[in-house]
Amino acid sequence: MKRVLSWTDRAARILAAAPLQALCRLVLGGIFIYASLDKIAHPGEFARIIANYAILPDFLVTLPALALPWVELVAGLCLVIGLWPRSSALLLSLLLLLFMAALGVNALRGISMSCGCFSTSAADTEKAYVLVIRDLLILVPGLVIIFFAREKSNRIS
Amino acid sequence: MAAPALPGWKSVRPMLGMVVAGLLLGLAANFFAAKPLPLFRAMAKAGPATPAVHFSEVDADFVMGSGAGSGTLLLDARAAAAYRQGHIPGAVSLPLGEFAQAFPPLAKRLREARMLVAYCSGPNCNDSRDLALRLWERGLKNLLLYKGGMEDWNEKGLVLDR
Repeated sequence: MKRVLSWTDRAARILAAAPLQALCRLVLGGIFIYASLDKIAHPGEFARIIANYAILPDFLVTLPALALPWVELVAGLCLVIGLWPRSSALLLSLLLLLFMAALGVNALRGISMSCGCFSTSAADTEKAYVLVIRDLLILVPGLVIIFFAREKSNRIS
Repeated sequence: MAAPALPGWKSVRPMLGMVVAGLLLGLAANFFAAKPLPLFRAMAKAGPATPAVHFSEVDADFVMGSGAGSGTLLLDARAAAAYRQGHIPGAVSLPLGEFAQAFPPLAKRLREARMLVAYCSGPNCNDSRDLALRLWERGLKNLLLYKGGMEDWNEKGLVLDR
């Protein structure tokens, strides 16, 4: 008996393939691990950058400045080693949506500030739409993991 | 092969765990840091978003004409060693790199000056502008830049003090 696969099934099968899933995990996790390091090293600078986004009241700036890079690191590590891949991908994707919203809000307000994306350097400034597009691209592997990762066989074999 | 499935509670729970873990790690790192950040106190905003101040620029002629008695004070933003090797006559050394130590003893003199003109090694250095910004933040508003700086001064063959 021959089973005929629809094209959506085929696409799902390709997207769920272990090598592609592993690649997505490495890319997304790696990006976030890399992005977290400089911010972990310079929490004070990162707090100033968050303050410059002018979204949170000043007294609420420190906590996210301390926690956010560590959340990025933890979720990125989980993703790379294959622990709770869907959860970590979901978390990192939500963070990306948050970043895009923050960048978008300030682009609309006409505030230009350093991004704080990959470093705490003041020179880390880029056109907001470039950053949003970059975040959208980073979102792709996240979505592939969230929707197509198999629940079992979580770990890299 | 299942169709794409939305992540359920099973996926959300570890996610919350990661958020809590990150928060705790961040707080712990701050607790053990050499200089812990105050958790709920407002931080001073700094960096590129703060001052959009524009300083007017002056040329060598203006600097030459602003000798003693004019009320204009020349500020050399370069390192102290560079100042000792040669500077524009009448200039006071206020190295940007040692601003915190160098500023207080000069503060009174700076506040009494009618005009402050900052310069550094040449048109491509930013120390004079950065120095002017630091002074601006401390309430000094009558600031000018001699953008040509030492390079322009030397090119014109003007005298130096040592």
